[in-house]
Amino acid sequence: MTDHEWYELVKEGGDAGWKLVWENVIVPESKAAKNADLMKRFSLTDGDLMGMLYEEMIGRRKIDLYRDDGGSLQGWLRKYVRGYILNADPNKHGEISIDNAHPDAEDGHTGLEMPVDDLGMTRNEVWNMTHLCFKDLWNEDPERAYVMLFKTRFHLSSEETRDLLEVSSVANVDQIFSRAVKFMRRAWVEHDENGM
Amino acid sequence: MKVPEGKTITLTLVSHQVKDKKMRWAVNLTFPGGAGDGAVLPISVEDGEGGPVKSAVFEFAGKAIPIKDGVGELSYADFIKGKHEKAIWLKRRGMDPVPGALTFA
Repeated sequence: MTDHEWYELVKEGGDAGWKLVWENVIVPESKAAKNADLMKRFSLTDGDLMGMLYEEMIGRRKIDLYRDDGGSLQGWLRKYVRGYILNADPNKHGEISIDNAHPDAEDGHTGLEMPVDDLGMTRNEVWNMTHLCFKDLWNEDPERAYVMLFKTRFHLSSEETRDLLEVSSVANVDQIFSRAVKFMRRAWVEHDENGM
Repeated sequence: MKVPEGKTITLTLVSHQVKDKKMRWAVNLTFPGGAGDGAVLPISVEDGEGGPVKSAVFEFAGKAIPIKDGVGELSYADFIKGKHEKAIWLKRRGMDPVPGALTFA
């Protein structure tokens, strides 16, 4: 299969393309010794990486940014995955950390930088917001909420979700999922603007 | 209508955050791996203090499911029939009904 053919399959969001993403992008990145160590430290699973990549590429249509002109799709996707792993590092988000310590005190002793953001608080807010938007999604149509949950939380394929929920086709599952992601993003913005 | 082989899926539903802890509840609804037509989905129900709910009716997927000693069941077919139903309530004798929601947990 050429990169162009693979790109077309990935764009469709179906299992044929995303199975290859799992095998050629997620697995090698999560098995690389340095990444495996970071993932363990930051409690990140390969399933998390797959979910994040799928959400970004299909949910936010970042896949459209790929220049399908002969460059390596695998290399392009792997850069995103490496970014997720590095960004999971709490030291990069202003949390108090020994890594952030520096000898800035006049007496030469090590001082600690004060946090600019409270990561724990931010995580809580994100979690609460996720639940709030998910509740909105449920109230729109519970089936959409099930599809969202099965695909992102339980990492079921579109075929598995179709069979489990008795949806008419894989294409229909993908359409429901795509609408659910769009709905969640819209709800997020609305709640954000209204201060939750 | 089939749950993937080897993948047991448990959905968690919880009550809205009512003030009185005793009024709260949490329900686990399990899809056993490989379950298909004719399967039954087990349900377990705990109160806000972590104990099994002795007797209640759990309204979910358009069905009123009797709960006894913290357990109940819903047929897979009924779940599919009611997959668009929004109402989720736990009704216990002598207590106000408490609504709930599906969670990401």
